[in-house]
Amino acid sequence: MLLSAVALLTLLSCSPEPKHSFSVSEGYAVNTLKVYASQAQVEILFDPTSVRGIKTNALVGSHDTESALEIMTRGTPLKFNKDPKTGAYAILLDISKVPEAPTKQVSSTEK
Amino acid sequence: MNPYQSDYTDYTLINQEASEWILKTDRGLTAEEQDQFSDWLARSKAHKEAYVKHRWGWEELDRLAGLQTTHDLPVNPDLLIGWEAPHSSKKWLRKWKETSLAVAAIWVLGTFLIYTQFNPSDVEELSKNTPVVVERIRQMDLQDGSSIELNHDAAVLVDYSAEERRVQLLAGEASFDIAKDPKRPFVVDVSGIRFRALGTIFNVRYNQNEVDLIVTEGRVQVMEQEDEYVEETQTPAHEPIVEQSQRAIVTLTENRPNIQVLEIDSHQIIDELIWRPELIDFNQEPLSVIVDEFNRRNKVKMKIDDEQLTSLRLTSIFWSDNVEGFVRLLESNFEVSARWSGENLILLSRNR
Repeated sequence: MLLSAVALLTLLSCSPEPKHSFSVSEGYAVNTLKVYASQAQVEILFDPTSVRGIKTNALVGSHDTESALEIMTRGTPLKFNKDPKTGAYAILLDISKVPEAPTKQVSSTEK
Repeated sequence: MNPYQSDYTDYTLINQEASEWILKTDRGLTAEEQDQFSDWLARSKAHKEAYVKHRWGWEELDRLAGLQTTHDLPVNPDLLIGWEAPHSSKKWLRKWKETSLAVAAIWVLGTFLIYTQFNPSDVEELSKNTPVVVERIRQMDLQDGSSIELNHDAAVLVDYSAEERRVQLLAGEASFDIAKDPKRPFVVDVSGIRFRALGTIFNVRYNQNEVDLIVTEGRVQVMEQEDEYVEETQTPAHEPIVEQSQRAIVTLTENRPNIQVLEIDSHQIIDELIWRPELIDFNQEPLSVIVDEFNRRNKVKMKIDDEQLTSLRLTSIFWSDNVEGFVRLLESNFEVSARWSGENLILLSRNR
């Protein structure tokens, strides 16, 4: 019985993430990420200086929170990390994706 | 005869009895069991604490499974019939074995969860750079659309029947948002005092000798345990109806409880209910401001222990009780190091 209970819990914990309905316009990340969070009902955290001047893609339709963020940040120098326990997201600048010239600008504002 | 006769200091037996009560309350209590359960709870503080801890462990199991809790099932008076008159000794033996195994499994799982969450050695470990784990506020969504938010130390027993929606607050503080149903009154029972909701949102805090009710929407009638419901126009003076923006402080005495109704302003209400989780929104705020806001709302506090961190500005949307998630994201993404200092303080510094 104990083993069955553990097996059941394992199976249930692998259930797919629920989808949410999104309608986020293309725009500056400093604004759109908060719209995303509100529509996805997720928690987010980011350093506003690191996303300054970066635009995210439009997001429309039904997606799970991670796929939605993936669509918004695709082709941008942004990346995200999810807290596995609480589901909260940190949005970060991915230095490896920043084109050479903007990299210097971003670095100078960060410092 | 009451089968629950544990010595007040025999914690193994108390834990076992608490586990059995969890099992029974989840499937619904008969009237006789309800009386036995109330007696058992009233007999010792250790009983109440054990029940609260085991209930927490059991609910944690539900949470892990993503299952809705089942303690709002209606009472099934026929549930024990098979016990009283088993058809054969083999059947009886099989049932006994199954039930013993189920109780044992719950006890083992519950004890494991409680041990991992409450063992005092955790406190020792906290000061040694243990990852931050902070319990969050729990919300119970009931079958009728009502919901209960449970503060950290709270435990409730939900007992819905065709005539009444009854919740027993066994310990701590809880906030109730009640769906209207004129045919089935919603009653919160706290140590002999009954709060009858008249379609409303209210908060009840139970300390040892005092119950504090705050009504934020609608009205609540305060009644003594044995009294019958009466029409509002006939409400006796000792059973007042508490209105929105009022509080009732009920002092529990051996004789008739003393009920005092007071006005409460919106600032006081915010202060009193600050423990209830809500999304807090920060726009390019210094970390110190964010930390202050979390600290205002939580028992576990954060302290910036590094000058370099004071200049860090962040934008975030976070649940006010998710200290753990906030700290972990800081640690894993913003070069912040977190360490425990004692049981309720987290020190934040820049990674070196």
